[in-house]
Amino acid sequence: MTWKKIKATQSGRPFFDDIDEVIVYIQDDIGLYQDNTKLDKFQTVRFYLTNKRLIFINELFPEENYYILLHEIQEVSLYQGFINSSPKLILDLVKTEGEETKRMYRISWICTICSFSNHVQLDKPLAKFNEANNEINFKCSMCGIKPERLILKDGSSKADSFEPELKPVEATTASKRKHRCPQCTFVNHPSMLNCEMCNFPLRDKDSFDDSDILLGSKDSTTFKLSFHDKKVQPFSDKLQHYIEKSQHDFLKRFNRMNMNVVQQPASPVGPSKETPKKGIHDLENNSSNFIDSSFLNDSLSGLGRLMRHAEKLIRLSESMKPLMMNLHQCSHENHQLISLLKSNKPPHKINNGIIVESDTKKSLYHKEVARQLVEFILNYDLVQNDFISLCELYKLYNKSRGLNLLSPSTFKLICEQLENVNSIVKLYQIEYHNNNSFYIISKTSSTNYNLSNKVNTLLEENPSDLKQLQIAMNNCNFSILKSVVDELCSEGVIVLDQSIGGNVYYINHYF
Amino acid sequence: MSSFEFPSIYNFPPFFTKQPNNSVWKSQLQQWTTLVLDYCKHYRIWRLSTAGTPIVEDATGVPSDSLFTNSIIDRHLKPEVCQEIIASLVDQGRAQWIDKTAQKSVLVLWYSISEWSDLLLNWVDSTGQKGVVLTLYEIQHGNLTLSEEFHSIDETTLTQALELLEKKGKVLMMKENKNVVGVKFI
Repeated sequence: MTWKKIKATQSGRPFFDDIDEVIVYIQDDIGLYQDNTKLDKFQTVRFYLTNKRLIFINELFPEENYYILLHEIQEVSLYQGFINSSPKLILDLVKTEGEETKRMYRISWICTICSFSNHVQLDKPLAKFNEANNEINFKCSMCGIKPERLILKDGSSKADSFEPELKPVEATTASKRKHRCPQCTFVNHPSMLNCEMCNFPLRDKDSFDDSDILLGSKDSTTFKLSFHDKKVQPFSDKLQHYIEKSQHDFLKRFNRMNMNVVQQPASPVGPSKETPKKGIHDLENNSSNFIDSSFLNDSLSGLGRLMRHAEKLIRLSESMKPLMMNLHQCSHENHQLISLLKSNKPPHKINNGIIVESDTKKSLYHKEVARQLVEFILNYDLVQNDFISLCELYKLYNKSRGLNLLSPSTFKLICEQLENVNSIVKLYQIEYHNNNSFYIISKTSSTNYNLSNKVNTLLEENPSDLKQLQIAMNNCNFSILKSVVDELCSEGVIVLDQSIGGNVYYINHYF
Repeated sequence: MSSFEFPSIYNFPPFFTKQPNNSVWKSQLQQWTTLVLDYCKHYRIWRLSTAGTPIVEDATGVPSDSLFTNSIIDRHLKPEVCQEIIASLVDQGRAQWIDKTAQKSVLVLWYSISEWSDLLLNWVDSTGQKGVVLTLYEIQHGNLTLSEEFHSIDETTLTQALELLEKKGKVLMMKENKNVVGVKFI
């Protein structure tokens, strides 16, 4: 399984087709490695962990956004980092048959004429080649003589197994690593099951994992996520949790639950754990047996206590039952309320779900909501009148959220992030000399956009009252317009004519 | 008497609203005071109520409606703004409260007291009336002063001008029961 491309929204958030998909965790500043190769393109990507997928958005290359389904991740292991190297999460992807066929089949034969050892790569197993069609048309690279089919078969059966002789150095280091005792580092003979020195079982689970990764690397299904900010634990925990969950769901969906259950006892881990009753360590084992039995006694008595507590708990729960029934009713009412809330659709709907402030980093959370806000603004074209006031936007956005409302202060922090998320809208503060100020959200492209100038030019053409001005300015927010006009008036740029007909504003030509 | 020609600003509606900006208002006030003085000078209005209507005994040729109302553009100044303009005139020495406590009307001095006294002195010199005893009525309404600017001058203003001249020793005041009846220019 590989990474698939995903489209991102204008503000750099992934598109979700599935309504059930929820963002669980966001982590930015991650570098991506394939095997041990640094992928230069993906060094500061942002990862979204949803309940279904692992998505990354690449801000430097907006087209290069990828996702992977969680159940396609076979294994996650954690590397804690060391001095300069950042902590890393190592993802092992599930291999599929599709990739298996892509693997090259290597054939080698020794030329009968010149005895040169030839190597040829084929895209399918040799058995699938049809001799009659004359598909086999490779020759000895030394003398040009075609090999006979029989020789080829011999060579292929050997070559189909992985070829250790091709990469001798790697192979030896790998095997060395495999046979090195993890406890005392003594390099044992490959055939040893336990360490000759300390009797430590050599083929434990870890060593198998190791070989798995090596195997995977040949088809490059190992990816590393390097956490530049060194905080790997929360992400890793969530990822593990959701991978397990999604794998479970996946299996459930295809009725593949417990399919491998029979094969479990056949795993070599069981027998290898058994240590032979020989050597110096036998004595040590005896003493450890004694410790085991005393531990067993302890735990048995503990279990007894636990049972007594459990009985007490059961009695307690019986007595609480009537109360619990009431509670259940309550929660039922709550549930009804929530469903009512959900069915009561606001005029503006948030597309990509509500982002909940959880244990995500604060600034990251703000940026993320800002991204969502940009989508929200663009979807409903809220800045069509050049700007929208912060208050209005706050009201609209929170109404659309329905649940989990934002506080005004948080909302302001979020709006301050708008310009940092590569967006086309920005928060502007309009200040007045009487220490009053208000905030508007306007398109960044109109940075030189100046309300006062616009009012000026409009009044230059035609002295008008506020209502006329408002209409001339695409029905922009009245209170904002009013404060702008008041400001201009108190600056003396425009002058006021108060009469029974209302206040009309003129450009100040006389005073 | 020809009618007064108002400046163009008089037809600018915001002119009749006190502007919020302080410096703009100062400028506006200045324009108003100039307008009031010009207006009064043109119609020889000596006394003006704070509402902007002239107080005259003989109302021929003098518009009766307020200076602070523009019926063409249908605008008028608010009473408190009128008051402010008049008060500003008083501060500049271009007007005097007739009734200091009530502040309902003013003597408009489109020429200041000393300017009036100079004018009087010039007139006496040029007409060769030095040493001649003149009554106040002769100065105000006499045939000789018909072409003079101080013709029909308000009595209070005239008395003040003459008192200034007396201080300088240019004139001798003849009083009867504390009322000035005549003057003699020396």
